[in-house]
Amino acid sequence: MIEVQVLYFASLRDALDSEGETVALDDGATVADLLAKLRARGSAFAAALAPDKPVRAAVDQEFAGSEAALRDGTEVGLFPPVTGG
Amino acid sequence: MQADDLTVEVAAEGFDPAARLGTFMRQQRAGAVASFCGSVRGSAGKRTVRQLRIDHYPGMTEKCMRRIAEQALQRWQLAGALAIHRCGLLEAGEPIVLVAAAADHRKAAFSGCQMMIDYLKTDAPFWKQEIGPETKVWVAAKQDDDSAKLNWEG
Repeated sequence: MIEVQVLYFASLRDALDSEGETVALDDGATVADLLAKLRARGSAFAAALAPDKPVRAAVDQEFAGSEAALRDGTEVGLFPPVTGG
Repeated sequence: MQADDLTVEVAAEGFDPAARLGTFMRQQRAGAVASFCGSVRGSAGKRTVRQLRIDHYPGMTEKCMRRIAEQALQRWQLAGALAIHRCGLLEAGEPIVLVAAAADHRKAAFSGCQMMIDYLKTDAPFWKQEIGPETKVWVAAKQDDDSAKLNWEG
């Protein structure tokens, strides 16, 4: 069992009404596993994180894909595609 | 954060682009300086925009901006690079971003400057929300921005 620190940003933060939380996952979990667990909650999580939604991730503050591995204490940012500049 | 040749900043308060550019130019000995400044537009299509909310990922944002400036410095042999980007709540007309590149000659300065703003649009964790009298709309990422970045990687 591992615990990751999830942070939500921008429209995702608004949709989930949350800045972040700690989530428990199985050893060896990936970003995809995290998203699946969050979606399984239903309601706003299922809608905002649906597979057809453009959700992006950062693992320990580096952009990462869904296959990225997570460890105990990892920081995972979840957010829409960036729009700076 | 500042090294001799690189200044990168996420600014929670308003900044004066002319003053910052002036300071950058005085610090540089290189003969060519090119810059870009982007400000909050007062409209998006038919929608009035009164304010722009800019969210970012504290910690990651600074690292990404620094990496972008370092990439431009190396690729174009720049003498110096400047990148300042606002976060927080901005009024229409306020400056959002200033990038500047110093080099011995203009081609490197222009290219370094353009590369930095193109990469800032795809590689830095900022998100914008346009606030109008009756609307709040999160800006959607544009395909054109991805293409602009790809052009540097050809």
